Amino acid sequence: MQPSPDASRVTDDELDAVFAALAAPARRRMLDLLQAAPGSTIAALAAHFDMSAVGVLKHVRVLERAGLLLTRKHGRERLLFVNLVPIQLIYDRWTNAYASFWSEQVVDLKQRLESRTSRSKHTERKRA
Amino acid sequence: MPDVPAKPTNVFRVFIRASIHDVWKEITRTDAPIACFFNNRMHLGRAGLQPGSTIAMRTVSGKFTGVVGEILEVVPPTRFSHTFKFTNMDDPPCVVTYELRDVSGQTEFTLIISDVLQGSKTQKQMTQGGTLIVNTLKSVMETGRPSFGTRMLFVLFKLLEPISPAKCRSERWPVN
Repeated sequence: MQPSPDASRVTDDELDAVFAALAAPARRRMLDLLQAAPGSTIAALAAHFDMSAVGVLKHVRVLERAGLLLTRKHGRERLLFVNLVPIQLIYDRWTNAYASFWSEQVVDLKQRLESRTSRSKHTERKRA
Repeated sequence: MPDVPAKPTNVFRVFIRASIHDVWKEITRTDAPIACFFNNRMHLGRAGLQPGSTIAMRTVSGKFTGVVGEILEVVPPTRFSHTFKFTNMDDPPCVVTYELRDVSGQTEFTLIISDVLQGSKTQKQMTQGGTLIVNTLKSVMETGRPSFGTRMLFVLFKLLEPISPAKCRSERWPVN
């Protein structure tokens, strides 16, 4: 099977970074926590973990490099946000390759529905 | 620009293999529907693309308006911000900001959603919609069209347009 044209949208390096970042329970938990509480500070995030501040920061950096975690300055604070776009791109990377399987069916359905609509309009006009 | 910066609620980021100028042109165009904004067409008030001007996102036919707002900031090609209100919801407007950054000829694109009423319908929509917006923009800039799933979604929108609620009719949301 030909790779999907969408495959080119994600490079191998980007894939590696995301998979490596997700291959640690602590980092997956960080994403869960940030999704539940967007805009947490590093201190608030660290409070959930029994590890040193340096350890937490190290994990945050790995997630940040993979694009899964974003930090933004707000006033004097640095807020953390989860960014699920890289995971969506990975999903698309494989699933879009199979999309053509049913794409024709849906397009066909659309055409049949539309021709039926225009036909019934035609009939209405004739009745009037 | 508001005196107190709005507090971000959600942030979405994608790296796009296209120039910052091309990406800016795509998200501010008014001559055609913008795929990443759910294939809506951007209509601006008489003042055009500048702060204070009204903005309305309308269906391809122009009959229905899904989103209205007021432009807050326009700094080509790095920053575009406007208030954002869904016409079919009673929630107060939130703020959307698009940040573009040139990274060696390519573009880091960030969508920031701020000042959303917690627990509102708007918040739910924005959280779900953000990923689709940045993902579709990347797709359009890099491959020339949205992903297959998104294209199917547009077909669905077109089929469902006639049953849009009356309060979304464009004559209720004029731009000036």
